[in-house]
Amino acid sequence: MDGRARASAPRLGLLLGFLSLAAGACGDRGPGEREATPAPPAANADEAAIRYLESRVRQDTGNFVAYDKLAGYYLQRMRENGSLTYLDLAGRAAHASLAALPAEGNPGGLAMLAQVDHGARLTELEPGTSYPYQILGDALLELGDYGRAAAAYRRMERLVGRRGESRLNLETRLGRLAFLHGQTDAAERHLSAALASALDRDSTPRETIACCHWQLGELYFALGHYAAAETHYREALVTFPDYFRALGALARVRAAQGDVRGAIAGYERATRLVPDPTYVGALGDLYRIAGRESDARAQYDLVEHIRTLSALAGTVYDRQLASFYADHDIEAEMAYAAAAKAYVVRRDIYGADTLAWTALKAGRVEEAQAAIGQALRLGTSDARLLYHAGMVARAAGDQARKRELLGRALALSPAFDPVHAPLAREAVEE
Amino acid sequence: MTSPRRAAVRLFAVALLAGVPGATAHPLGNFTINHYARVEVDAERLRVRYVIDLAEIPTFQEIRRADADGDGSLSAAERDAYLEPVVAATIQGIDLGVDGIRVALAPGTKTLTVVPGAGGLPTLRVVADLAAAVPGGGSSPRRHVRFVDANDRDRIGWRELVVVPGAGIAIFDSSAFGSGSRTS
Repeated sequence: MDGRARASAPRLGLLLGFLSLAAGACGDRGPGEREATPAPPAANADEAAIRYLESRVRQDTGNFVAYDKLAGYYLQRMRENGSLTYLDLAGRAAHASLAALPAEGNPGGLAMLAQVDHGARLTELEPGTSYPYQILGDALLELGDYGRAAAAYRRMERLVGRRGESRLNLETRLGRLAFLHGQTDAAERHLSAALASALDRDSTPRETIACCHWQLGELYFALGHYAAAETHYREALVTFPDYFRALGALARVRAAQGDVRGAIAGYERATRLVPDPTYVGALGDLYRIAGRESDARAQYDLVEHIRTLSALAGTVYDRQLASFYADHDIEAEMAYAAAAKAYVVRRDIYGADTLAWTALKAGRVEEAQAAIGQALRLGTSDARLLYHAGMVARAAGDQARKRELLGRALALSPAFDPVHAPLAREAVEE
Repeated sequence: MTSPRRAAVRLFAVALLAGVPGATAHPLGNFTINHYARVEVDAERLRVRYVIDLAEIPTFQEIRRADADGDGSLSAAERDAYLEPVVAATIQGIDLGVDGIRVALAPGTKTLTVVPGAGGLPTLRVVADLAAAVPGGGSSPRRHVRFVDANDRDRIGWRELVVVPGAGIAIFDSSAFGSGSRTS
């Protein structure tokens, strides 16, 4: 790990816990290669496994392997229901694992903490297993160090078999990496392979299969293939009913298809399960489109309330909230400050995009131009990035560039957002 | 339980156990709705103390709903107006039966309190005392009580069901999360 990565490491714990929720690392439940703890009873597998492992660590506080596996299950629970409390529980289990055995003899516990501060060190301790490279690659990817992330995934690829959980973990990451680089065919191939790997194993958790479907749906939505996206979101919900990410995504498809009432119903259901501020804000937008201003206001107020709570809990939703403010032309300076602060640590393309969008709203056009250049540096096929870039070009007075970028955004995904796609269309025609 | 003799009750309960305890007021997070039911069983009556504990985010949403005049606080009249349908709906969500016969719970005392949560933000707590008469049985001293709580099943939250035997009652084969002696 170089000096820059080491310097930023202490802030990664919260960051990466959220990222595994947001970026979609399907199915990670800790170091799967190590199975020293006997398998728990199979019925109602995940709940039983958690109960079993909790009882094991209560009986034997030195059982670091049980702590490791418990941390993995807690992270899966966090992905399933969005409760950040499970992130806290995972962290506690990881720390308990480390306390049970010194780090050098405890690569599993270190693997969980690697998401905090030891990614590279772990690969030195366990160069022959794939999981450390997966953790390292994930950390680097979300920090925006794409070259080194790709290198870590290449090392991971050499160590995983053609099938199994490690293959699934690899394919989801290669799919994500390909998407970010604008290689959408490769992304589709990898994400389809991930889904096939998930379906190939009887022991794959349903949440993991649902997550694979959701990821494919996200790809198709980004490409404007709304019907294909809907198919995968529906499959996700068949596999794992009440999977809140698929519910929210399906509502977004409804909105893209012009079904405002259906989209509202979908977001209402999704936010009842997990009040993710992105979904809450989207619901408010749809209420406003439907002329339900009071209901819209209630959702926007709820986003504010979530901001207060997230500040108390550790500012996990900073990026989402900054985007929300910028999207709604409110709190421009606060949003810009939050985005700029986050970008100091996490210099990935979406961090750059948020910085550009908030800088634009705060009247800092030159800074927005620089940041959006960073956001577009990989050639990602994402209509929202292109829309933001087009609006930055518009503010800078570059009409040709504006028309080109907004045209590309709308060609890629004509209804990428019920509020902003029409604004993009208006701006093109100015 | 019509017999004054020591009776035995087999209680079948369905409780959705949704998580693990933690150190915070709402261990499963600030958007949870948590449910607790204590079922007291004696020969004549079933008494249920039902508690709904709303974490900060659902509280924020519910207070908007309950605060009819929009002044930011809940008056006694607003609390009563809010509680009435909430408790009625809660009763509808409970499937309570004795030996296969569904019995109806009637509402008794009910309160709504505002409890400080994270950062002093409000949380809501509904406490409702419910009761039902136990229908007459045959000659067997063994009775089968069924308690299924379907309230807010689509919400994440802690759910706990505790069964408390009345005088002369023994509980066996209970699938409730916990049981204990009478506490109040």
